[in-house]
Amino acid sequence: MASGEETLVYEILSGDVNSYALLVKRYQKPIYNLMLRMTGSEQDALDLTQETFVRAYEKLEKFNPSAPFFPWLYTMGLNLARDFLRKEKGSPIESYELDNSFSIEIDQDDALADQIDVQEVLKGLQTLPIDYREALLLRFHEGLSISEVAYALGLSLSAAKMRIHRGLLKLRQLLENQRTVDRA
Amino acid sequence: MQKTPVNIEKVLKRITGLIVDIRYAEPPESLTENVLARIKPKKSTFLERLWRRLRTPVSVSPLKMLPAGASVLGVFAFAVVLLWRDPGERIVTHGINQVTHHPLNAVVLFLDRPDATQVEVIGSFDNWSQRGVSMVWDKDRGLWVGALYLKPGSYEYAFRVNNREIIADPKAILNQDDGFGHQNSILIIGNGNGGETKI
Repeated sequence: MASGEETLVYEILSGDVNSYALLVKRYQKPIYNLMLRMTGSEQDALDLTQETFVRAYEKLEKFNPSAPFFPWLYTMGLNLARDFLRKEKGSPIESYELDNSFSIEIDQDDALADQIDVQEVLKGLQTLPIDYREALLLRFHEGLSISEVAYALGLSLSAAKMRIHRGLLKLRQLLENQRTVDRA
Repeated sequence: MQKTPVNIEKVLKRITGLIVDIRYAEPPESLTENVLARIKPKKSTFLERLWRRLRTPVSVSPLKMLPAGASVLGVFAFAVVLLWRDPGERIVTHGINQVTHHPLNAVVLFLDRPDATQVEVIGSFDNWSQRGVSMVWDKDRGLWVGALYLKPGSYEYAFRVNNREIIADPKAILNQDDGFGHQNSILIIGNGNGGETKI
């Protein structure tokens, strides 16, 4: 758990709202960006972020203060966003499966490593299925441990490892395919 | 042609490095304020607080125990003094912003803001700490009530309402500009020997 969070949670449960303001400020950015990725709308992202923090506050008595707060919060946010998409958009959550065959030439991989940039990776992430995308962002952007990623996404430890590994392979394939299309 | 593990490893490492570099959008500044406006301070019983405190792990070292031991002795000594003091010196806590005559004066502050969900007194008595002193809602009076225990002297203070609005005490006789365009209220406490005590 991030430094002092256990004490903060204790203070919040004892009636100190200011301590919750600290948690909101600490995690509003990743949650807001999660909602932006999920909805593509700034207004919906803002509403859902606020709702996530309010729900988390209401359910704080059920939270184990010795556990990490952010994965717990993230789970709540992800569930809220999924519910929102189901209700508002009336469509199932995106599902996107990629071809698992790797038949690109060796030289191309070297070129890919040298040439890809952050914008391409961002675009690739947006194309990935949500579960893979969020696993990669939690692990590499938020710096969560494998066990924290597993907790946030409701997976076993081995499933979380597999999700991250496959997510990376799928993202690489997407980037290579994109470059092939660009060259054609 | 099959890829070699080295090539794949190189690309994956590059991709993870770029994921780290992704810049997130900044949320609107009003976000925290909007969340706080929708929540109310949690109320818990003494037993619930005690249970949570007992469940909270603490690290103990002999050095850390020294201040704690001193505090326990201090509280014990204070309790002895209280038990032996003259009953006529009891702290009075009614009326509007009263001060009693006692070495540590109990100052009771009131604020008429029934619309508020949370109020604290902040001021120079604790170097304007962020935490301040929480006030409680007195249903019978329809007022927010908070007590300060202060030595004789002059203090500036203000009320923080709903964690965002800072206002001077509407009942205070004296106010002073804080240099940032706001007013702070002034609290002057006499020496507690029957001398002048005013707010």
